[in-house]
Amino acid sequence: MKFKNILLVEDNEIDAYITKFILQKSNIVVNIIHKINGVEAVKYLTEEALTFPEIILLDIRMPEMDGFGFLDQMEMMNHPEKNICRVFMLSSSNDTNDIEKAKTYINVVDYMFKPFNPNYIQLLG
Amino acid sequence: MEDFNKDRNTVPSLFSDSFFHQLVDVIDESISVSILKEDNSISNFVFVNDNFCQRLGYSREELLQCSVYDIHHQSDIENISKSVLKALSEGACKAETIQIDKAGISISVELHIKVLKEGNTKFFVCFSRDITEQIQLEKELEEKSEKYRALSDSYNDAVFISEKGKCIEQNLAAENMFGYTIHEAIGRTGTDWIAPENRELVMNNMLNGFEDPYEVTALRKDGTTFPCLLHGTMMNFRGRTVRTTTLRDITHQKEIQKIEKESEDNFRRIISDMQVGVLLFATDFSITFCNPVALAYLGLKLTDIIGKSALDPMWEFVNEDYSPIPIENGPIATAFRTQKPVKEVVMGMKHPLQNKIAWLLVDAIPQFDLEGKFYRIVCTFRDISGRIEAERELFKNETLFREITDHSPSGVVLLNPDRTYKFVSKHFEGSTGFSATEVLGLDPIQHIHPDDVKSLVDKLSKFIESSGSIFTSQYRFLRKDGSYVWVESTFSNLLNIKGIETILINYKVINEQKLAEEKISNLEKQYLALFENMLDGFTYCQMQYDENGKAVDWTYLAINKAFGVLTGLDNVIGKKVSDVLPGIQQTDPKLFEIYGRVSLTGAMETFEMFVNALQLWFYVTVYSFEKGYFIAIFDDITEIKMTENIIKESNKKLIQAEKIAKIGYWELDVVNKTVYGSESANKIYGNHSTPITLEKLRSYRLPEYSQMVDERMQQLVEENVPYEVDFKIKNETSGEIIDIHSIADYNPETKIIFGVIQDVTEINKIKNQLEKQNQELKKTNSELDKFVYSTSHDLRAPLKSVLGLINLIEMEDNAMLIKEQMQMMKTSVVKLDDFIEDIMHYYRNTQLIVNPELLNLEEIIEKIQFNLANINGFEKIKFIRNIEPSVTLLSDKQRVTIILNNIISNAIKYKDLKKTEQFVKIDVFNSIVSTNIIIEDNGIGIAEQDTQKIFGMFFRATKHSTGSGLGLYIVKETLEKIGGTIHVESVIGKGTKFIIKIPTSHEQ
Repeated sequence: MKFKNILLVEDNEIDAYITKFILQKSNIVVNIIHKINGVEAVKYLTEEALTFPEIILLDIRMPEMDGFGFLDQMEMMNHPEKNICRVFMLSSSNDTNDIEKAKTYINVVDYMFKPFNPNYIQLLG
Repeated sequence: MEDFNKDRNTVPSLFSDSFFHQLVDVIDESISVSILKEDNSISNFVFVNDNFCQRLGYSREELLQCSVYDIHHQSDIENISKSVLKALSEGACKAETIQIDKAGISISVELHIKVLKEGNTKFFVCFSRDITEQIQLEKELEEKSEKYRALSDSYNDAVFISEKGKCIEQNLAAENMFGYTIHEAIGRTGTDWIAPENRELVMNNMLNGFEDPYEVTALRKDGTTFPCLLHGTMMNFRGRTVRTTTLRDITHQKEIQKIEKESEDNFRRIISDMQVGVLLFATDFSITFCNPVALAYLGLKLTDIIGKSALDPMWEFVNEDYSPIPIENGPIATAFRTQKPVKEVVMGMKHPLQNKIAWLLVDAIPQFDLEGKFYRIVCTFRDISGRIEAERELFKNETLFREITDHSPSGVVLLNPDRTYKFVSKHFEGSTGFSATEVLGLDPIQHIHPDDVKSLVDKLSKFIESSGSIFTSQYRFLRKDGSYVWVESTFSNLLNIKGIETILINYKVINEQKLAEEKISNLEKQYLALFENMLDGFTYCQMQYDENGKAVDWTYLAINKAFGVLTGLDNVIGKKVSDVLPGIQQTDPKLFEIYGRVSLTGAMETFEMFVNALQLWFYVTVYSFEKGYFIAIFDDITEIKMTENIIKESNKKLIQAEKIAKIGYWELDVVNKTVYGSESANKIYGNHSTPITLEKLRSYRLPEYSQMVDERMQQLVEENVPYEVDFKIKNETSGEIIDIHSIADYNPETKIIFGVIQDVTEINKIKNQLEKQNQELKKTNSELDKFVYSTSHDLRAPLKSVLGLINLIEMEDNAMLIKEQMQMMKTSVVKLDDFIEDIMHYYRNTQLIVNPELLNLEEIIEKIQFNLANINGFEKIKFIRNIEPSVTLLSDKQRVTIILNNIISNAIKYKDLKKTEQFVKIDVFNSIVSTNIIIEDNGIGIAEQDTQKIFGMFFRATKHSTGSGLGLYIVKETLEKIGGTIHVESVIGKGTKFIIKIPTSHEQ
């Protein structure tokens, strides 16, 4: 297996099901951690995770804290493994403002449109 | 103690020599020796000499129990430690310290410290000397020399102290007077301060100890010289013989002396040339000067008189009646005694050499020098012997005649047959200024005005030939002061009467009469010239009246130059105005009316009129001195009138413009603190009139602006900071609050701030409204943006989920899984449908008009509950409905349903599963103006920070939310549409309460 941990941040249960389903089939990851919004994801990274996930799949529109709110929080973390963590946006929004804004975050490496499909596995590297 | 013994034991036999011991004991110097330990501290004394013991009052044994620290003041210990270090590095050093003797008295000492080495042992050797006295002396000396310097510096005279001819000290005045600083001065030869030509003299005086003041020429550093009074004295100064020299700058005195001498020379030269006798007497009465005229009058030689005393008995003086004047009562003696001028004393002087009396008119004037000291008498005198003699002669012969003539109101003159003056009465001197002595024997013709001589001489020559004839003539007679006096004289020829043989002239002065005549004639000329040359038009006319007494025409009798210039009329004299300006009766009837009236009544009138016949404005003054005639004086004021009209017109426009624009002009006099405002400005302030005081003006401003406006005005005046401010005032008349926009400038020459104020209340209102609208628009716009963004997202998201599931199903063979995924697809599609319904609600609310009807809330809520029954967990929730039967609500059914549906469905969705019993409680009741619907649950609650946000568009407060985030937004918007309000109270984990108020009767 290529990756030890992938963190999926997604509020929509169906979308989360689809993504997890494809990831599990592809056999590239040991653990998939699913969090339903930014608040939960931040809580996981700062309080629960033993190691930083290699990949984060991040939705934008979520209640309580959206994807960008999460990225802002993540920038303030100073975990030593943070720099090797790659963030992929996973959203149904094709709004240019969202795409441009995503590019301004250091950890964001790509922007994927929903639904997650098997081709995306290759993008994860 | 052990240490100490150890130290002692190490003392080598350096001092074992008794000779040396005795030697150091007799030395007049305190010596102590200690051992310097390795840590540089000092041991107890190991040796002290007698002198040291005696000075400190200890015995040698006692001292050997002490160390150097014990006999010094505590504060000196550090000083000593430093000295030790210094002595160590340099071998020796000096220090001033204070030692304390056995009796506890402090002694200032100077220490000479040496560190001597003997083998491995270092000795601390200390020679100390009592310097208390020395210090005191030095202090005294310092004080004294400071005093001396302060004293000498306060002199205005330069003071030098020199020794053997060299300067050793100088004061401040010396530095200022000569330019040498004290450093430059010291050591310089004394004669350097003296001009070369005086140096030998000064040197000799110095060597000889000459002590009287004398004048020398002094030499400054810059080479200039000035006169000085030098005063040198020898003195003893600290056992030395020195010379103190003071120099006083006497330039000023010298100048005064010079001026005095010059003016005295001038004075003497002038009086030498004077035609009066002048004698100068010194304070001892001796004659110091006598001018040639005086000698001539007195018939003496200069040698006869100089040095003689005024009190010399060789002078004998008499009064006019020949009674002797005691010398001590003479004018000179009187002037001496009183020190006041004695003037015009007539006295006879018996000639000391010739036996003859000279009659003198004497003035004796005391003179005072610059300091006000009386120093001499100037005596001037004139020989008036001739006059006195003549007077005496006349007096003798003609006393009676004089008595008569002198009392006559007119003057009497007698002429000799040769036409010369024989006699003049007292009146003559009064009216002409000539005394009898001055004219007797002269020809009176020389006193006649040149213009009158010829006619008078003609008459006189005929008159003299016919004895007994009389004639009267007026002519001008010369006065002594050069002016002429008009006289009317009656000449009587008495030449042929024996014993009289004279021409009698009886005259009276007619000056005033003549002058008045002359003046009147001049005045007329002046007036004529004035009228002719004045810039106002002048015309003199005769008025014509018709049979009804109405003025119909006038004839020009006289005009001046300006008349033509102002009217443009020419050649009018003798003509009628109807010929000159045809039709004027019709165009300017008013003119005829006024001129006609004045010509009749003689009452002066002044008026301004536009004369149509000339198309000009005139300012006219009309008089009449004779019935039927008038004089008109007028000026063309067309230009002034036109300008006035223009000003009036533009003023009117300005006032109108001010009113329309609600602008007012104002001026503030910074000096007098008064404010002037235009009519419009006054209106804005509700002021009845200006000027008003600045204080009053300030009282109009609302207090919170007052200081700001004052400051800005001050900045404008002081720093020229542009003045443009907005503030509010309270209109005094209406009490309204007015927004003011004020702009002003400042004229520093007139010290006036001037500017405009504008009532911008309306403008501001509109501005605020616009701003509000603008903000609303902005809000709408951003909401619209957000709406489009969220809608497009939320519409697509379920579709994307479905698409993802389809992908999975395509790859999936497991039927169970496929079924599960199909179920998911259904959920997604339902969600999409819900969302679209929300959007529809939102759209309907914004677009559809409100359609009020009487609502049955019971029924509406019932229906909502029924529709929501498919929500998970609905069946477990206990519904409590408490709806007052009397509630009537007139509102939009669809909207009320949307509102209640949203709130109630939320209450079901966000139930708290942790609680054993879940409830939703709905209370409905009417208050006076509204129907109140309270929906309370014991669900999960809303975080406090989110209670306001929940009504925002697309806001989802909780992760449990599966909705669109539009629900409560639609609730709020819809309520607004029907005039209702919503309020939320919630505690997280406990429950939520929405309070909805809907107006009972809907108003459009």
